Amino acid sequence: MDERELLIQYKRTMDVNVLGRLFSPYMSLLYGVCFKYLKDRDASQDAVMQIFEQLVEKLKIHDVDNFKSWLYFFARNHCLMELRKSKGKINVDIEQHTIESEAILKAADDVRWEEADFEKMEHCLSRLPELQATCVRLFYLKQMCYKDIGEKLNVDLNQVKSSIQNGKRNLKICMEKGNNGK
Amino acid sequence: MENNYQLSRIHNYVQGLMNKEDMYTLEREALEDPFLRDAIEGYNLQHGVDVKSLSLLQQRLEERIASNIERKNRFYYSWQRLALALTAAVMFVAVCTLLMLRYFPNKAVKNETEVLLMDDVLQHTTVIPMSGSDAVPSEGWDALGDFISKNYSGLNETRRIEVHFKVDALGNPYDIFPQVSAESEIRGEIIQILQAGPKWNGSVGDIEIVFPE
Repeated sequence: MDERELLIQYKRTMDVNVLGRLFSPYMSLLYGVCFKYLKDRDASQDAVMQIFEQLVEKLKIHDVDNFKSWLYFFARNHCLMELRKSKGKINVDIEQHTIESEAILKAADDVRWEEADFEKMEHCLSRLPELQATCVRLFYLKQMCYKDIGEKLNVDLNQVKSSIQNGKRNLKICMEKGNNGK
Repeated sequence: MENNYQLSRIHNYVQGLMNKEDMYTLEREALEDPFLRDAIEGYNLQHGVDVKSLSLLQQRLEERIASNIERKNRFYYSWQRLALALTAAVMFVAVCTLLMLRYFPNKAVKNETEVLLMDDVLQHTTVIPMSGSDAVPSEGWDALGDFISKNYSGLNETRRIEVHFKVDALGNPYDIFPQVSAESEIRGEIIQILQAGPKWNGSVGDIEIVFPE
């Protein structure tokens, strides 16, 4: 039984056991996500269980097409709310979060680029900041991992990661402009 | 299984146990999958996958599901018990109703019986021997009274009638003279009843028949 069928079954039967089967495969990922935000083992464990408890009610009401994406957003929002409750105010990396949201929104109807578009890609790459362009080239074209790129360019691993993410986003914006929003 | 595979990939990545190709593949996947990316970052902060935390979490989830099933069963059983209690209550009421239905008619019969008993007494004819009489019914005075009651028409208006008679050798009464007017219907009726009635011992009878009101 796939996720879609399990979701339908849960909505029909309200059987928590069915929800458990749906939720269980994502539990380790969820724990990692919660730890990223909460930075505490017990708090992360509690957060995962709280998310499960909230799903018991939420999934009765909401129609969810892509459970994995929905769960991720739900979990992240839960963790951010928890942080807000405990600290009163939180700061998140807007660049990173914008990219994540775009990635999810575009995941369903990702555009397939044609051969002619690759010429424009070169043009767009040349317009990116130097570090972003280099990181994108090394990652996507040379297929080098973050570690190797960091060593080659002598930059921090996180810097490599964010340069690739931001470069990818800027490249996409540039390509879409060139293709009249294709 | 897929979940465990993904987890072991994350663990190997975070611990630096992956070769470059696998690292690249996972990084590429993570770029397209923010869920995976955030999870990797989380485990990176935790310096690897904490199996103990995850197994505790799995246990908590299983307990949560089990408690729900138990709660559901408890709810089901409580309904079952309630249904049983309701059935028992309905049966109890039914039995009580049946008993009461049986009890009330009995009471009515009892009342009726009492009325009949009173009626019997009122309608019973009594025979009293007068002084100077030596005749005694062979079956007793009560039996004579019963016999008169059974065979008497009830049309008599005179309540007390004195009757003189004689008893022959066979115990049959003769020369019966009820002390009422010769035209009275009861006169002939008394003579007939006494002639058809029980035998007598003695020779002279002088009795008073007391009819019911």
